[in-house]
Amino acid sequence: MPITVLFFGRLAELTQTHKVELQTTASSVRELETNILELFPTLQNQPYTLALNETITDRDKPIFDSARFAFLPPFAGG
Amino acid sequence: MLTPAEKYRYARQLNLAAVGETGQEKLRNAKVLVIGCGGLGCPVLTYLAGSGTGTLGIVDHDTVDESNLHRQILFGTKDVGRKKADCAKEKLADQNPFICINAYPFALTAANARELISQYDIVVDGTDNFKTRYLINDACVLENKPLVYGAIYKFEGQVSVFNFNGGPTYRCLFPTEPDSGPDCREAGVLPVLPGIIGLFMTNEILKLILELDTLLTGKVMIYHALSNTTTFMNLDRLSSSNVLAIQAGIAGTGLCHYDNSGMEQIDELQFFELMKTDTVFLDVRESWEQPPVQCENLLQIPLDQIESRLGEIPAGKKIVVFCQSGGRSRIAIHLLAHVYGFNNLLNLEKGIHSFSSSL
Repeated sequence: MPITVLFFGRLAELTQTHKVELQTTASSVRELETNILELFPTLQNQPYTLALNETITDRDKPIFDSARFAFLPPFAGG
Repeated sequence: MLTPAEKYRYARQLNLAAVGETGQEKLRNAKVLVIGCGGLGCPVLTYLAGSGTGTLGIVDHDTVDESNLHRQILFGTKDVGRKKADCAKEKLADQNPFICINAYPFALTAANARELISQYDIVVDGTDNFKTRYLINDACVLENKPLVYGAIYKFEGQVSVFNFNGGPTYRCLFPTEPDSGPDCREAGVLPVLPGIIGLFMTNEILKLILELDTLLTGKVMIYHALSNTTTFMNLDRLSSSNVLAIQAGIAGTGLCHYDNSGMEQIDELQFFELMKTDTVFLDVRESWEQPPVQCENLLQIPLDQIESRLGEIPAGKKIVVFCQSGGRSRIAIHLLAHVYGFNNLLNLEKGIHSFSSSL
């Protein structure tokens, strides 16, 4: 099924994109995260929080068709 | 009552029905503590002073560097080398002599955070490092103060209002402190971005004071300056957020408040003695953990459910808190004592495991 993934801040630099459209068979947030880390290994060990359909999510939530997934890093700067 | 001079100075905003004299008095009575007087703190302070926010506190240990001047609009070339908090106070006092400004030209630390924060109504995080951001969050939770948060990275900024009316906190968005992140010196920044984000923050502060809808609470706004896009992510209160703050304090990386001195510890013998009294026993282990403890007045509430099931815990009674080895019960006691004001709490120091064979 098709999904959209957004990257913010430094994570967009590491993946060299702000947004990708993907096909996935993942059924949970955890599974999808693992697949995306395989696709973008530069994200390994980076701090981030995950959002699913514009809501901060835990890793047990199920993924549905056309899900909008996002990686949010904390920003230190001020 | 506003003075004629105040009415004249604030005339343009007094004309707004959402402000008026009542709103202006709310502004005059408000006390806002701005932590970090840099790229974010400067615009926040400038517009708060302009609006007539009655008491402003400025915490910053740093001195003005020439490389700050492109974005830190409260300072001039002649200020280089001076304390930022002192310079800002001078500049703001000139901008608005009707308000009170307190300069704290030292760092916010685990030792002074609660004391400083307790004296203000609203706290603003304009700092540039994770350690202080978590410290501010944890102290705001303990002091029950709303926290207006802003942070930037290159062309992006995040804004939110945390810990407002039981809403989510910084730890609900980012539960634990990352190792480190680039500040503006390392990452680079155009001067407008902290200006824009600082004013989004100020807008939230003014709405908070004036009690106007709709606050950025329960969500984080992410602004991208190049695409001019704003994205909103919804956020719930994380049940473990306060537990994480306490763990950081015990580990020595958070508020020093959470050391274990002063916590009353009991051993096995006292545990059994207390069973003969009407003491409440609070088991904070998970329901599957062995061995079960049987006694009257037993409450079984796993550590991460304590906050959501607070009503089940009787205040004013003597409560023995226990777990397997004394670690989680210690966190539960800090949570109940420091966040929710319980007293008369006793910790079974070495936990059930130390004598489980005799149960």
